[in-house]
Amino acid sequence: MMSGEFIAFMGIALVAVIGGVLLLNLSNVMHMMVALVFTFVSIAGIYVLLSAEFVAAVQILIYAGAITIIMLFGIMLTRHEDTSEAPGSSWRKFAVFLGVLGFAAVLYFGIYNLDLPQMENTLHEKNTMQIGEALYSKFVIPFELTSVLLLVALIGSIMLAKKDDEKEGDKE
Amino acid sequence: MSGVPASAFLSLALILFCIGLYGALTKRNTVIVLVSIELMLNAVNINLVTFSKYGMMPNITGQVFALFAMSVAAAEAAVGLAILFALYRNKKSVNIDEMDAMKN
Amino acid sequence: MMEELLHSSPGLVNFGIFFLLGTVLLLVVLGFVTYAILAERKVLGFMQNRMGPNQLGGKWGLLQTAADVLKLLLKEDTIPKLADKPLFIIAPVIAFAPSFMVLATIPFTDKLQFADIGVGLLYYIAISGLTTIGAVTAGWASNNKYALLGGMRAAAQMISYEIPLVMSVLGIILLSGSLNLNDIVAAQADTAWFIFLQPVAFFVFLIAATAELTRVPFDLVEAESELIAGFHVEYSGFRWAFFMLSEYVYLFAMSALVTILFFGGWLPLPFLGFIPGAIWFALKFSMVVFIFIWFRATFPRLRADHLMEFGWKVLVPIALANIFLTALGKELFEYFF
Repeated sequence: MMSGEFIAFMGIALVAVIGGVLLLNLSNVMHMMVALVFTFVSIAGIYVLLSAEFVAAVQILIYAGAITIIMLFGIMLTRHEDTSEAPGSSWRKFAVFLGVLGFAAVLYFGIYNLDLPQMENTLHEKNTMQIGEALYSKFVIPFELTSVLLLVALIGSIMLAKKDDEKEGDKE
Repeated sequence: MSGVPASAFLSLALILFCIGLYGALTKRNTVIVLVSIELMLNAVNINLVTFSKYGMMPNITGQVFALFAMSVAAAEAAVGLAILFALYRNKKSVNIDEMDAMKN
Repeated sequence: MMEELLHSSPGLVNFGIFFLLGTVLLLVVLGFVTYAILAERKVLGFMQNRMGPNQLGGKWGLLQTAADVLKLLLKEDTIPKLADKPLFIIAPVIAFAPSFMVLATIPFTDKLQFADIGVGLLYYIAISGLTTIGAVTAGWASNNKYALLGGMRAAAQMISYEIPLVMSVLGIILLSGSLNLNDIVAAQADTAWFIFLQPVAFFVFLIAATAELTRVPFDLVEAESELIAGFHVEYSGFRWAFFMLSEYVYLFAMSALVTILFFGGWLPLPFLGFIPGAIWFALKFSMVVFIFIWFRATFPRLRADHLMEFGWKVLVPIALANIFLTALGKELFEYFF
């Protein structure tokens, strides 16, 4: 059972979960974001183990590279309180915690009994080319729609972040 | 092929999803709530890519769908942050429980 | 040799071999950094009609950088009282680690490469984006307004110029049909060096690469006349050395990447194939490094708003037009020939 793949999986999964737990437990908002960078990068490692190297590279490029940075900008440009805790709502937190725990238990029961036969696959051979061929033949209309969505998001976020009374807007 | 079973990947995705869910429901800072939602989307992507390799019919479609989910998530983060800036200019606060103008 | 090692079964012996190779590469890179700094000072001195370092280590000042590094390591390590201490400590590590990680996929010759992965080019671009987080974190953790401004500028500049950088190489990916750096060099062996097929992409890439490296015409991140030293203003001693080191390791990696993408990597000139590939790589590589140093002596620094406008309104449209024309040209070429 102790194959190299298993050791790699355990290491990466540990880093990912620790990053997530730190996100919940740290009090400083900046510290939370830096903890989350480790989670995002280790999720890219999980993709590599699942023979999805292109998705892994895109994961690092988009999540660790772009989304984290604009979130850091968001924290810097708005007023940052060092504590993110609401006073006097611990019973509500506990209820949420119980609910999430119940949800996790139900799903874990489903996963635990899952037994999938391992099939031969060719995902690791020319992974990028396979994705490209699928994108430009089978999924060409969703692909084009994505470009429209990104354009709308770009213009929309510029319009929203722009100041009403002044001429210059924030560039994202 | 004898390494890690599919259920291990699914369990990791479940843990990350629950962390994201708990964070999105309890944190006060809107940026952290947004980021928790991103973490949930990431967990879903892990599931998609896992089934693309270990599913009944191994297929590239899972990875393609994960890519679409990522581009939508990026757009969501940008628009969410822009809304946050607009709100911050009006209310001088980023705490999500103070944004209750629709309530009363 | 590397190829067999990479496909062998895991074990302690292989771990030892890889560890040793990694250490050797680290030492090679450190040697490069030492002499790149010296070369930069010497070339700048030559271009500005002065001597440059000429005291320590003979006429050429060969030990000057070693002495500088020794001085840095002996300096007191200060952490400001109001700094965010954990982030202040981890930021140089976040900035430095990716700079060394990107070296893994770069093929120095057809045999000498650490990881031959399918998405090599994308891997380089994705990993190098992680350094930005280190810069922003350092700027924030220092609790200093100049450092914060420098960190914000670093993030804005690096994200903006990553887009033309990626778009300019798309033409090359179209022509070679692969993201793998080995395949890209092999495609240049079949046709011609991509600097001749993709001259526009070369210039866009070179400009965007200079901006990514935050070297002189684009060094607003550490513009000393406005920001003192940018995001690493509060750092001293070996923590500062980490930032310096990552900057020069990126110079190494980016020059190697330009060599591979546009100058055919280890491919020899016609009729000169008897010279080994490693020497060709080293020659082309040194030329690219020289171009970067030459830039530094030639161009004045841009203004911050001009920098953003130049990136978004000039480089991105040119790169897009280049992709369109390349695709059109490729289709027409295949149609007629």
